[in-house]
Amino acid sequence: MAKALIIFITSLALLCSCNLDSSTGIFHKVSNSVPTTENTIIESLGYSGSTAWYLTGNGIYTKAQGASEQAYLQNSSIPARGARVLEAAFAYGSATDIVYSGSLKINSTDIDTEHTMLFKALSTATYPFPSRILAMTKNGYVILSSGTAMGIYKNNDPSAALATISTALVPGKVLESGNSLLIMDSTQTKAWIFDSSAIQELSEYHDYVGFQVYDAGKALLVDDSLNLYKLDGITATDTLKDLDTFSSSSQMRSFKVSASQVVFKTDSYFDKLDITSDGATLTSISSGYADEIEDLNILGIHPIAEGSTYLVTTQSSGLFIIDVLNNSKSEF
Amino acid sequence: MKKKILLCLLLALLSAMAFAQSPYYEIGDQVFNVEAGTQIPAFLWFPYASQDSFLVGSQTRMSVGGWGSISYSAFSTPYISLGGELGYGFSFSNAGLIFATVPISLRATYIPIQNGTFDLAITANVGGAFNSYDSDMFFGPFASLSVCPSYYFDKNWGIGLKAGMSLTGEFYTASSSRQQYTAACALVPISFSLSYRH
Repeated sequence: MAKALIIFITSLALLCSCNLDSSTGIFHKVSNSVPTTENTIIESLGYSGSTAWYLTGNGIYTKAQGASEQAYLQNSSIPARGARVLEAAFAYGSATDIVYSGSLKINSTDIDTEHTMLFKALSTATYPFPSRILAMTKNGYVILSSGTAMGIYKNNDPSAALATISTALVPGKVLESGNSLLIMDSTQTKAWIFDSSAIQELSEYHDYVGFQVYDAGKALLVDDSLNLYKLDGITATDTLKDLDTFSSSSQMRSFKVSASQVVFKTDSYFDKLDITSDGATLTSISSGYADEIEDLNILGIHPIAEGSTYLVTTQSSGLFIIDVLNNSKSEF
Repeated sequence: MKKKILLCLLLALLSAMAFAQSPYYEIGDQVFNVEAGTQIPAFLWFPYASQDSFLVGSQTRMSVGGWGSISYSAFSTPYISLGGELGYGFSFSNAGLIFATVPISLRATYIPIQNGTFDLAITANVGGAFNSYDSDMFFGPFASLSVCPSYYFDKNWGIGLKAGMSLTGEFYTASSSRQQYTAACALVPISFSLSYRH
């Protein structure tokens, strides 16, 4: 009997020692769980006119705070048989017009072909870009390839490229922040910064997962090893502290609180970076809004009132408002 | 007042039943139990959380779920049996995901009232539990206390209704930087019990 008891206690102790320390806590996750929404969100398009805009598998939807969601453009409303919206963004400079790329079945053999159209509230028109779309960004640009070069255009005006990269390289990943883009080529050797009208190649390449402009001409870059770089001009200097763990290979979410403060969403925490003239201070936010939404799949964080409140769009847990000043979360 | 008098009479009657005759069980008797029922979330306690550290009932964001177990005990005295229990409980979170707990425990049962037809058993369990949710799993300590009145409709077989409270949890040290996730979870399993004794 005594032997059996010793074996039982030893087994329990062994099992306890096998616990992984990577979890954010089972009961913590349960107590912060939120109901999943019926309409899974694919992309967050932004916040405009006191309204959240997002793309779902059924089309483009909007939702005002406290109201139920409204269909803005359902796939079934696209004037082409079997069409669906693949990705969408606000038209450059507009807060109400949406540009989207759609998949259209052009014949009975079910071959899908992408077309890009400009959709407005009152009219719909096919928008004939002359070359292949490589990327459409939420801040109003499209990157087009013409075979040996790629150009950056306003997504509602293909008449003239804002900038051109004369290279046969194909862009791999495109990150965006404000009016800027961070473009990486697919061979992972070159990266460019595009800012409104000018483009420059960065002096060094890293596999970036985060990009946040925090002041005029200044940005923060995060690579896949969580090294944090401060970008001033075209030179990235690794002078800042590293962020907390981030296991996903997708884009790291961040938002600018002020011209000297940026918050990054990492795996376990939100990391707040206070940028000073000679470096930066990093603090983790693990209570309040950070605690409540850290386990959700966040697709976008958009300012409602920059510096205080932000709209958080999640994949299947709905929309939230986070209040940075009061460190709180509420339903949108 | 009448209710109090009736309650006193009932307790006196039960006590008389318990102690007026010699115990039914003998050392070495064995009991197998199968239970099935429901599991109600009681509370979650996060001792190191800065806010919302004590959540009760629906605040835990767990649904009423299910509970089942199998157990075996052998009598070491006419009133006390010792054994082991393997259980499985589940609840759904607000996100629609399953929280599951699989306790493995040692159990000690005290049966103060026993006359061959009616038993009143008080059981304490101590052990560990595999708790899982989403893609995470944690093996933590487990303890429970329950009461089970049973009616034996023949020499070997009996049915009962068991209710109690179980406690499990997960613990992180200060050095792990996750101490704020340390939690204790209390559940109230209520189940029908089928017993076989010989």
